[in-house]
Amino acid sequence: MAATRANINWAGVTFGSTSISRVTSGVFSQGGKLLTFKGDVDLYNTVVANVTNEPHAAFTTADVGTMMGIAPGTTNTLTATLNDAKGATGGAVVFTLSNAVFETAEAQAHHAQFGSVMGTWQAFSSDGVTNPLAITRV
Amino acid sequence: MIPEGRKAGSRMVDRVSSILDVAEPLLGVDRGRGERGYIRIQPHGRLFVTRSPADTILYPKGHPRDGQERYLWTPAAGDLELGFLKSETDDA
Repeated sequence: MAATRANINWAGVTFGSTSISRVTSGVFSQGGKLLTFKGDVDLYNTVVANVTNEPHAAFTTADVGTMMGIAPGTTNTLTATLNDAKGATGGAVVFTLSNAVFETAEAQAHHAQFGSVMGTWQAFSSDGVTNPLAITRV
Repeated sequence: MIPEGRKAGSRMVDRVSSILDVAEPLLGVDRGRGERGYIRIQPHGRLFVTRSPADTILYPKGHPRDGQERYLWTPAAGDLELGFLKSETDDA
């Protein structure tokens, strides 16, 4: 089966040895930020520069216990696969966030609804210049 | 290092594949053994691709060579830059 070139559903979400299942939503961000400058009589920015990047990630799952069990500040590698829409070989994309630091878990539950929890991560670069967010394909 | 301009395709997996098709043979990646090339988007339109997602361009903070290049960079066809890991005993 040929890859559909469309992706749907996260799989294989792991933070170090902790497997995170029942995932309903996930985000990986390059975390780019822009610095703008204008001066004198400028009405519009005359310089826009990217001088800060803060890669981060967030996942929401129904597995409240697992996510709440991760201590804020824990550092490990966060990996997740964004599957091909029809499960075709070679269609999935794998995200790896090295040096991912678990930020917090926020659980919520409403009456007569499934509870869920969102975990968030920030990441640091070992050398200050290498992006900790890597992408590959299955 | 591969220029971002080498990316091709309209979907993410196409663009990832177009870079890995160039990089993985150069890196000697054996997908049959579970190896992969990992792409890092770097400033100035460059893609840093290595066999480990933990590889860094410079020696890491706290290393005796903190801030120095880990690779010897050589220009190659197609505006690529091939990085060869320096020996730990190379002059800094």
